[in-house]
Amino acid sequence: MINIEVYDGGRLIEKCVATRFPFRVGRQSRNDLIVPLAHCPGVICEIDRKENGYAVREGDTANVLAGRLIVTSGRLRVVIEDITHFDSETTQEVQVAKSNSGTYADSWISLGLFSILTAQVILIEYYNPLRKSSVDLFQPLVVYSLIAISVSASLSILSRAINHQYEFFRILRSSLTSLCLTPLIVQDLYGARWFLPSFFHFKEGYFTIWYLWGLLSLLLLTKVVFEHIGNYVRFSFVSGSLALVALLQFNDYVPIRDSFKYPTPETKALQIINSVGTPVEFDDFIKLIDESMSESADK
Amino acid sequence: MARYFTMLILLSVAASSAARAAGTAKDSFQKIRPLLFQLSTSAQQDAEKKAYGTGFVIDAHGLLITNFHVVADAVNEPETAKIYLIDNTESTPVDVVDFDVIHDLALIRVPREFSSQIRIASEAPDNGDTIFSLGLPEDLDWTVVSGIYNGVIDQKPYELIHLSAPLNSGMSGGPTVNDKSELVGVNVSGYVSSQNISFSIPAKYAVKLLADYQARTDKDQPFDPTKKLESQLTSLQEILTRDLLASAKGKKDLYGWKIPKAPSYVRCWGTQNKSAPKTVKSYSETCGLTNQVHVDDDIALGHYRLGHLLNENSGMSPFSFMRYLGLDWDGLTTDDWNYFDEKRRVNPGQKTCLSRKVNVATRQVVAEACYRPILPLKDLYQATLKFFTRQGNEKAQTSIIELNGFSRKSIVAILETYLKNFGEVGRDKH
Repeated sequence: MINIEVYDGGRLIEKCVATRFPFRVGRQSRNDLIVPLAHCPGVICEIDRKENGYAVREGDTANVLAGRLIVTSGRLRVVIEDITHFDSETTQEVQVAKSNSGTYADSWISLGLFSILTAQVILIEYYNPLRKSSVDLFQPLVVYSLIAISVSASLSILSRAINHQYEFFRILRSSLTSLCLTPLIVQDLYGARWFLPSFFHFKEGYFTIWYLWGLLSLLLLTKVVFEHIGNYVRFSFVSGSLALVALLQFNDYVPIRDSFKYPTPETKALQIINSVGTPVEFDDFIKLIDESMSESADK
Repeated sequence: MARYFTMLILLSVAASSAARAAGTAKDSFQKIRPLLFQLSTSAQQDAEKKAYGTGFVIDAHGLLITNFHVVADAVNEPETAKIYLIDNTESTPVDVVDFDVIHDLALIRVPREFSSQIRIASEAPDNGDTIFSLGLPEDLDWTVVSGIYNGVIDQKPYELIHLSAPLNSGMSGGPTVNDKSELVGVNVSGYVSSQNISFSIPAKYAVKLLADYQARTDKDQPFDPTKKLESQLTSLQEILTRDLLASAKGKKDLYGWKIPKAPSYVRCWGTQNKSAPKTVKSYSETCGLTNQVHVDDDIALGHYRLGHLLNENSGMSPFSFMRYLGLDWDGLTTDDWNYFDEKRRVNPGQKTCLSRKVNVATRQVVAEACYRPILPLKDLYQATLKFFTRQGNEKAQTSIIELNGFSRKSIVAILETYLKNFGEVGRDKH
């Protein structure tokens, strides 16, 4: 058991016991104060640096003193006693971060599902006859990853800068991750032209796209409406991911199953019908064939 | 009683008619039989035959007519196959002195004189006339079969007499005669899967072959089959190309595309592809010549095939749609002729393929042209032209033109005409 004390300007506002890592001491509130968790039974608390930015947040000072971890953030100070998990000699900011980098089972499931989804999208992309070349396979992935990272970083900085509540951005980042997969799928659906204006013109019948957008909207809405029911959000996220994977497997518009349903055509055939390069003019092609046949006749 | 009387009359008429036909068949057999010989192809004189057919005397000075395909082995593989005339048990080596590969005829010279020769009918029979075909079916014994003359099938440039007579293997090269035992045709082929639909070559082509040979001043010079093949196939492909290009000027609307028309003598078949996924409407149409020039068992030239595949996406993802079209692209091509045998006179050369994305008017077409020379025939090729275009992810057209035994000029002209007209959007009628 780990004793945890939370001080506000020297005043002890929270005292509880954590039995496991990660642990949470407080919950973000509108008035920028750490307040006791309403649903924390008082003996089991958790601290999650990412979730409770004011309590323990990146950039906060954290020191180990006499076997106690003291995290200071502004006028807030979190004292965590009997931290045997941490190195007692040095500044522990990094270790705090590490100790709080764990996630929940449902998050792992979500991550797993999205990994499967991503793998499938990559698989589709690999076999995508609309893909122009093998090099292009990685280009969208790199681009989307960079977008995801930069937007997430921007949101983090922004949320920190405006000293805003953190929960909303957390779910937003998760949603963003999902969102970043969308262009890959859209790319398949629209034939590598997702970035064109037609991307925004959803055609009737492209249910997957609607579903994806609907799912993301629902997640955000759920979070806003049921802000205090975190498990519900996570449940939605998991079930939504499951449904999405199922949909991708059995939907007519996303062809994962078609990868297995239709035998792979000769790569050459697909290369030919998707031939890259600058189109030649009609007369030039006729001339090319004529000359080629002439040359073969001369041999 | 009245009913019984009527039936009796009809039966007696039928009996009378049958008796007359049987008598004529017997006459024909008796008159023609002395002019018939078995022609067999074998490696050596005493070796077992690898192929055989019938030949008949068209000129008593040692000239017989048969089908080219009967002697094709000997023409194409002179080192491994010789032709022998079988007269009872006697086997005599003979020579092919001329042939008309287009009409599947060959002229054979035998080093002997015959007592008579077949008489040529001065005019074609009328439709419905009884005719007789003679030959050696299935190596059994000399046979005469009767049938009905059904006119000449106008499948330019190959004319064939359509007769309802059971022609069987071994009767190839035998004569088809009228009720006066005069030659009206040369047995050549029949539909295997049909009943009594057989064909013979009009006698005029045999007469012409004989006349051309007799008019030759170099009869004693060695005969060069390669040059003969070359010149005949070149002439044929010119006719085929001319007709193909002329017909392509006309177009028909098919499933939202404009498709060039095929010549009227070309047979076309269209089918809705039932194995296509529910989310794709797939229609294919194939046109081709019924006849081919069989230079060898494996080599058929002087023919072409046109194939069009029209697919409309009605709910399939672009990914799957393109994947499906990729299968189509592969599936369109028929078996490639690539069997090389150095002992054979005619062989396929090296295959070359060129594919490009081509700007055709306002549309982009993926075009592939594959060709291989037919060696050693000068300027004759086997070519496959394939085109593909699509309108977004909504619909796509794939076409193929297979040309066998066409010159470079013809192939380029056909490519130019068909590619220029490919991918034109027509009215959607369905």
